[in-house]
Amino acid sequence: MNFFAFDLRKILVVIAVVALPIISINMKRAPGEAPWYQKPFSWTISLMQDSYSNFTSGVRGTTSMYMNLIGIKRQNQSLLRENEELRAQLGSIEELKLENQRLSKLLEFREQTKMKLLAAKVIARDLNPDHESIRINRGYREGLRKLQGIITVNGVVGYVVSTQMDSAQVILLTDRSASIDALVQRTRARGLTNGRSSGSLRLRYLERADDVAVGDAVVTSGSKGYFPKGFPIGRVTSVRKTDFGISQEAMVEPVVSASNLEEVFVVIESGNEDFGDRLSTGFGLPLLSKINSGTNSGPSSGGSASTTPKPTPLPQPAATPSVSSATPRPKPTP
Amino acid sequence: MMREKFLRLLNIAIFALVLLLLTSAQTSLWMQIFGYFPAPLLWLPIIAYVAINRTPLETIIITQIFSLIMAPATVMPEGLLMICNLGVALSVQVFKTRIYWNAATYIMMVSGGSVVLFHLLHMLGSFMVRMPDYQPLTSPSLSDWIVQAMLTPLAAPPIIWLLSFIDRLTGREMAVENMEDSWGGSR
Repeated sequence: MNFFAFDLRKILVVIAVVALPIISINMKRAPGEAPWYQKPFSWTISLMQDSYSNFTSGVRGTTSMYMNLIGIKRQNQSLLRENEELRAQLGSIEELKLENQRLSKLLEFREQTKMKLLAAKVIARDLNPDHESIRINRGYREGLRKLQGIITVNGVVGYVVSTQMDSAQVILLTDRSASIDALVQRTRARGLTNGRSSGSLRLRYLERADDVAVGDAVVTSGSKGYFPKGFPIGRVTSVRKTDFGISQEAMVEPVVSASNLEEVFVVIESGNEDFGDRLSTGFGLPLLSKINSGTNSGPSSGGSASTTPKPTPLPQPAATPSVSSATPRPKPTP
Repeated sequence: MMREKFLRLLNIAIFALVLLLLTSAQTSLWMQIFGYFPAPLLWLPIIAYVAINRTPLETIIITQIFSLIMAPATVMPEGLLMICNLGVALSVQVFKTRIYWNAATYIMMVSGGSVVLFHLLHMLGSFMVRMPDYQPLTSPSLSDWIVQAMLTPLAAPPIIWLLSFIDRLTGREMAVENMEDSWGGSR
């Protein structure tokens, strides 16, 4: 046996294997940075770890964001619901406030007038849109009769055409079959309003010599007592006078729009009330005051009704021979 | 025989009730929700349905009864309302003998046409009516007509479904099949 006959390569490998940890331990003992041979590995590892870290934190972040989003979504839904509820409540409060204002105005008007009025609510409109009528929730049980006037604080609405026990059909001024005896407030010229089914009126059978100007207020004549005297109907928007003929007519814009009617008054008794006396005091009739102060542009229209001389009562239009001979008069009107 | 008569009367009574409900909905409920925006003429699909599914005699009788029921809801003269509704119903019957297909689109088309026809008949009729306080319709609101002619067909299918259901309930489904020869025409 050859004791010295050994494999040199094996010995070198053993030495290297044994020496490497020793060298490594010795090098670690030394302070400072990592040894050169570790650098690539540590860079790679740190890169990997960083990536993993980023990845997991990303996932965690996304997950938590998603989880939060679910929560936020729920919260958002609940807040939206709450917001809608609050808005609805606010809307109903606003509605109540407006209703309260309207009703207060109506009550104030009712208290300050001599007329016997009955408040009514609009419950329906006409079946046929080519006719302008409404139904109110008062009938003959409450004393309603045909031709009784229907008004609001602002002006004339129409009159009753038929009554049932607890409701009544009211034809609006703007219906083509509705007609009301009227006066031009400034000059006391007398005529008859006819609806045109297009939200406007015609003031017909005015005598040719009558002074009527754009902007004049048209009011009720108060004859027959279905309406109070001097209650606003509308404002003249144009005057039409042909070259021939004995009468003239004017287009009138009604002061009350049918499209926003909710509560009205039935004139049970007009009590000979004359609103012509109250125009200058601004009594509860803002629109009428506006008509009188702002839109009368004629030379003699500057004064209010109190300064306008009260004319002697004019004859009924139906009794005027010149008018009745020119155009057949409709049936008696309120 | 008695039972058949009873069912026939019951059928008309239920139709009348539906007419009342729809008329009220059109004049009151619609106003509460949509204000004065033109409402669909909800009674016209009923008239159209009756005209399509009943004999001429029945159509005339039912239409007149319906007109009387509807009359308090309008200031339109009763007579004129009856003439207009009758005109619509009979026109639908004549139209059906010429053109007919069994589908919801047919009733929608007929309902839309009925709206236009009703307004035209009303306008024409208003010039012929001679009543002290009645004035002819000289300035029709065409925009309202158009809106109604578009809305009414949309409301028609559920109404027709309800009426067919009532017909089935009261054993009236065969009426459709038996009426073709009444005008001497065919589909």
